[in-house]
Amino acid sequence: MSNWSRRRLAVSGRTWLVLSLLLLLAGGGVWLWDDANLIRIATNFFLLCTLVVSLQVFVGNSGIVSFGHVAFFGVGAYTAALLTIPPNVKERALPMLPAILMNLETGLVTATLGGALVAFLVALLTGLALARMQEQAMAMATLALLVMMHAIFSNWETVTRGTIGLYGIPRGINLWVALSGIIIIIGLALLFKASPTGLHLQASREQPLAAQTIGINLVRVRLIGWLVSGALMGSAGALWAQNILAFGPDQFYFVETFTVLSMLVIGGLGSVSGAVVGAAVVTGVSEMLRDLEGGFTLGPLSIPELPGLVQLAVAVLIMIILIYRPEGLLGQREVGGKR
Amino acid sequence: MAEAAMSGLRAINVSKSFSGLQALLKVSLTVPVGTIWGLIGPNGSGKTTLLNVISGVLPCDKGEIWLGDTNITGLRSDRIARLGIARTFQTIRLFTHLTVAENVEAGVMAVETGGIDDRVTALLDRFDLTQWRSTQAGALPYGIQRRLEIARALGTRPKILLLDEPAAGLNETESEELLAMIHDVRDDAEYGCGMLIIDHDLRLIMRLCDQIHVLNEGRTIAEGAPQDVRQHPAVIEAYLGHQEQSLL
Ligand SMILES: Nc1ncnc2c1ncn2[C@@H]1O[C@H](COP(=O)(O)OP(=O)(O)OP(=O)(O)O)[C@@H](O)[C@H]1O
Ligand SMILES: [Mg+2]
Repeated sequence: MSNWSRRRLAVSGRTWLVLSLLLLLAGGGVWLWDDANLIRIATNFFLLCTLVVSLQVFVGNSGIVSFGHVAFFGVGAYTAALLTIPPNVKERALPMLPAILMNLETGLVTATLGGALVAFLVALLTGLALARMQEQAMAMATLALLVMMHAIFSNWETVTRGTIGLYGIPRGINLWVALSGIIIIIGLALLFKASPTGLHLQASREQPLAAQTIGINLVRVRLIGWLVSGALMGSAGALWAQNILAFGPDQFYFVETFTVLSMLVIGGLGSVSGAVVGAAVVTGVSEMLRDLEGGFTLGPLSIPELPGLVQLAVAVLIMIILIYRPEGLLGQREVGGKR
Repeated sequence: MAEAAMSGLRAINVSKSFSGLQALLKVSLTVPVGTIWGLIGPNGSGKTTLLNVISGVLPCDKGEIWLGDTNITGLRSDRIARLGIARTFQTIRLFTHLTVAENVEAGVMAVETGGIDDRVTALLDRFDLTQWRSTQAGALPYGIQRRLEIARALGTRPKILLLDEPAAGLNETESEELLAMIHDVRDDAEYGCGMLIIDHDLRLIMRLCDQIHVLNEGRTIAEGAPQDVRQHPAVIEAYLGHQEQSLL
């Protein structure tokens, strides 16, 4: 810790306070409004933010696109499910489960940390190979990781129940838990960004060759970024599982990867605040269009059902942003942070 | 002087070829700490390649490179940097989306174990970069970018600093400032180091350097004090084919 910069920590701390305050205001407002639907949307939004912010830690700092992070999200979700589903439900759903797992029944915090830990281990296993690759090769390998983990989720029947998926997870999440989760994860993401390794990863994003010639070990900083990001993604998956309560392997695949990456691109890859803003924009657009998707009447016009409208809108939004603001809405900027 | 040579840089019989093209052939060079060496030669004579090999950006085919009593041949470039060799690039390679302060900080953090903020502030101050501190490096005027690249390299406290055409693209005044700055750095109590400088501006090189090494087609054709090298027949001949760089 001796080569940390106090100045960087102070700037990150300020960003963390401002972001936390904004989210707290949003959460508090929704809670006071006391509308069940709004509370549901806000809770989902906070959980979504945990995902995007966790992804930002690697993709934003390293500049290497990862299509594989949703796999860590899945690992966290399955881990939390196995840790929290009551033994009597497991006996029915997963009769072949090893005895140690069968009798486990932990609380929210243990399940979330467990999700982070198992995701970390998977990240370690894969990262040792990936971090040695060239940038483009690494991006391709992350895609392979996504497909590989999906195959495992879909076929490891003893533990995952295959394509049917798991159910019976007790609800550990409410608005406040989700809010606490995102505030903690934002704090950790900003801490990483302020750290020497975080800065070195950003330097390697800008100029890998020059970064090496000032003493930066590319493999090392990329591996550390990958591990931190993977573990955070695991905790995000664990939180999400304890809100959705039942899920299957197809919830950790291409559409989800696209959605999370799109939020990051829209908000701005290089910024933690951007990840939050991207999640907010996409949530806002989706919620507004979701009602339209079911069909509506506009004066004399009757518009029929429009399935796929939300995804279409998000895709178009990305293209517009990439044309007019290729660095995303916030670019490299953080809220409350003068560099 | 002998002691300075021991703690400096030594390249011994370094050869490097690119699929048949002999970019360097048995080049030997010694840069003691506290001296400024010029590396000149016509376009394509292997100057940048020599810097790439010394800094570990490219492996050499034959020969050895020593820093003090450490054999650094074949080490990864980040190891070489932490051992004490820093460099700049012919085409500027800054971390363009990071601020000026962060560019310097990245180098400082790679080698220091404390007092990061003070070191960065001192370096920015030392190189007149304080007013640009929070500016994105990519948005700086060209001359300032060159200066920042040198400050970033010095942030790693090098024993040897390699500069690849630091005056390229600078106007007369900026070149003069740079020249004064490089002289100051050599004699600086804190950042003093040995330097190996490539430049096409021979007048600048002659004024700046204690010793000059001349390459042509990958081979050493002359080495010595500026006034001797200037009169060396092989040097005059090598440069006559390149009229735009006449030796004056
Ligand atoms: N990475 C590389 N791969 C293939 N060939 C290379 C590479 N780097 C340099 N060369 C070749 O090696 C020779 C020496 O190039 P080098 O860049 O070292 O010359 P230089 O003296 O720096 O020239 P200039 O004054 O134009 O910068 C040239 O013929 C060049 O084309
Ligand atoms: Mg060159």
